Amino acid sequence: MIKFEHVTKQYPNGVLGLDDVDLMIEQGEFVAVIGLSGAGKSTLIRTVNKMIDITGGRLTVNGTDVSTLSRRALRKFRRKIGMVFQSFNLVTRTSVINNVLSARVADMSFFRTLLGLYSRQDKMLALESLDKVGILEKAYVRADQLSGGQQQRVALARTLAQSPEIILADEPVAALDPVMANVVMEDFKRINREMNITVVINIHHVDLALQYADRVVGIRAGRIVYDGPASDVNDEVLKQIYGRELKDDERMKEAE
Amino acid sequence: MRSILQDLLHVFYPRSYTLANGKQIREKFSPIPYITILLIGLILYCMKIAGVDFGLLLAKGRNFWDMLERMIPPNWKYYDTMKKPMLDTINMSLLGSVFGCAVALPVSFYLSGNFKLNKTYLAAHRVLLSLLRTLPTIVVACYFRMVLGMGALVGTIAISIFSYTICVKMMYEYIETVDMGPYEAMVSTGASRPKCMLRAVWPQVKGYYISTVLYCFESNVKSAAILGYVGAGGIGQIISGRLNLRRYADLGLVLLFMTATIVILEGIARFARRKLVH
Amino acid sequence: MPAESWCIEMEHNEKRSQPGFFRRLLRDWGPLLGISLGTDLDDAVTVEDKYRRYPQPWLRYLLFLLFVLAIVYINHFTVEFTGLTERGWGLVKASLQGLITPSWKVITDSSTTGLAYMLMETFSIGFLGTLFGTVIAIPLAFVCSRNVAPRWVNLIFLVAVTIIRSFPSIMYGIMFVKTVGPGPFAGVLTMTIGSAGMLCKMFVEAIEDIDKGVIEALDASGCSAFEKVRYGIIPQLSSSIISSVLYRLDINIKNASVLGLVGAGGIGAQLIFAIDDRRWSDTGAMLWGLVVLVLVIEYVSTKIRKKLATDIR
Repeated sequence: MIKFEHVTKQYPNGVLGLDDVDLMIEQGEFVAVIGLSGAGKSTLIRTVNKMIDITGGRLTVNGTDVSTLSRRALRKFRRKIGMVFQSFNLVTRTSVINNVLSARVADMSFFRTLLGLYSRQDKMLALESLDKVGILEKAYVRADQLSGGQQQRVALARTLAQSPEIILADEPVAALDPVMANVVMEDFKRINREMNITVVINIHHVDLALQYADRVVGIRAGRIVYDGPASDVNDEVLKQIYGRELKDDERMKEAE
Repeated sequence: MRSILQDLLHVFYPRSYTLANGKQIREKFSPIPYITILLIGLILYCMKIAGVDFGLLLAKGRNFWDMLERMIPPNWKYYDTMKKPMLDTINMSLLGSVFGCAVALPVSFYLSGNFKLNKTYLAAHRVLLSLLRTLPTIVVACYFRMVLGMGALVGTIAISIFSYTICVKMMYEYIETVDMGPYEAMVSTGASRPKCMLRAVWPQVKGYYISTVLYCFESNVKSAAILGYVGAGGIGQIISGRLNLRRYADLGLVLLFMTATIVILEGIARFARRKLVH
Repeated sequence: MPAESWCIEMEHNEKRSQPGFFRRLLRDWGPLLGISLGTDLDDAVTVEDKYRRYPQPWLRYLLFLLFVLAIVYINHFTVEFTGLTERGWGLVKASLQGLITPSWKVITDSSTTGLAYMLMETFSIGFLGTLFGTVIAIPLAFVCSRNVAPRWVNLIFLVAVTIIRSFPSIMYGIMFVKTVGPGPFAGVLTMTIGSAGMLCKMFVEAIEDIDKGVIEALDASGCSAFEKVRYGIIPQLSSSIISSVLYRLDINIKNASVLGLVGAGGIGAQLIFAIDDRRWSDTGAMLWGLVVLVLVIEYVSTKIRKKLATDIR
């Protein structure tokens, strides 16, 4: 369970990234965070695994206060949280399976890490993760020979190999075409349902958010202006979040 | 512990996995572990042949600095004797580079595939060029020194040959990637082939050519300084002379100036090349 | 208003709308040097004017040619061509003869004085020199790159590396021979220092190009600094490192043959002796051996580099 209590993030130049955020996310929820660019979506997501430090308030994840974590404890904490990035962040020159296996590195002994010797269990876990996102047959292919959508699924498999309790995704489908975006969102949904992993997605395509998420959180200028079921989001609500009519690029056009 | 050894073994021999849902997948065989072992073997063998003995290095390491210590402080009075050979070196490298690249230019046009010469003639010439390229500059210099006697001319010739080989290779590889559209357009108007080359291809190649010349110059400054050692003129000659006479202070000055010259000239060449790219 | 003063005003205005003297100078003569202003081209009224104002850098080319000729002229005092003597011609003929009929004795000799051994020695010097040079160059390059170390540290080490690199390698050869005695080991050490400088520069370019995103991903999954380097940075660098090393290996093996000159081993010493003794067929044999070696290495390294660009790791 992720709990934000009066969380604030103020940058050194005075700008407020997050302003008095109160939020509670239970295990197994599928939450989409929407809002304008720069409104604070990315900041919100990244505070959960302490990629960004908060300056005020309290943030607890499964009972642990995030701001008390440092170095070793932080690393152990982050093992349980997977992160998916907009730009995939794969090592393009090596094979897909090696990319997924890199998620296991933090748990391995020093000697194994040095030589790159993954154990049998690690490899099984990696292969299972690849199977779960449906690209098992590409396991030994070089990562940069895959399409964008496939690469993002590899990144997703990489987080699955961590056996996480929470998956954070920072604009995971922004770099994908509509067809692949839907496929990847389906994967997120399936993983959320089957494995009961909390999924928090930062997304700027509103229709995708509404289609796949159970719960929607709207952020505007660092404050939460909407927090409720996706089904209750209508144009009024959207206007409140965005402060204006939606632009075309904030809707993903339906694939033909 | 045992599992580590097991996994290590499987690096050499791929195994297959069966997933929970029954799918089977086999690891991909990678020759890299074998290559690594061969490489290590090669390294050890080479170390034996070359007599690599780090113990010796540690023991005698002091001697390395011995010579340096005797070169400092350098003998500033030696500057007057040194001036001419220093200029000779710079001239040698400049002239050699310019001359070699100048000859290389028309040849590279002929050698690029675009000119559609006789295939075997082209292949033969390229092979000859490769052979010429493998000769280190100093060997060429040595040879010419014997034929022509000592002097800066020998060094200049050696550098010209070296610049020629590098320049031709770099140029014809580049010319082959150039857009031949304008060339074909000109040919269709009935102009002769050399004219078409000059007007259609040369403007595209101009910048790269000057960059190549500067690159040659940059590489040659260093070798020019060394060529003198075999009697090809320039400052290298002085080095062997001073060494034999054990005049280390003089040597110190020579080396100081040589290093400074190389740094400055290389810097100029690099700067000019960067400006050219814009 | 009286008509005259009105007319005078108009004349005055016309004169002012004409560009100034120097400006006109630039407009008329600039194109010859290859300089022309866009506004001049636009202002051209007739086609003829436009043509004249378009850059036609004849003067520029002429000046450049004069510059080059001047350099040649100034330098010709350095270089004296006294002509080929009778003896010289004889030598040329004999040497070419030796190339065509290389000495089979040298080629087939499989002991330490034979060609095969000499080539192996030359190869070892180049190979080990490149290898050790790489070992030194990698940490050096990390210190010299902007995204790893602070700027002032970069500059100090870059200056040091440049100076070390520009120091003539012959001197290194001589100094190492004085240190560890003549023989190939001195050659290996010389090559090590020679390669380290060049490789450092190439590696710095590779290091400054890495994708930080991968490291961010590893960070988010809880990896320590060592793990981030081993699994984030090294995989990205490995192929450029290998590529640079192979490139350098090529050059080093060629240079290794030269080290024999100062007694640092390799085929160079024997080659120079053979030339000095006028043993042309021996020279021919050794030259052919050297050529074959360099070509083989070049072929293998090109092949490996091509494979690196398309295959895994």
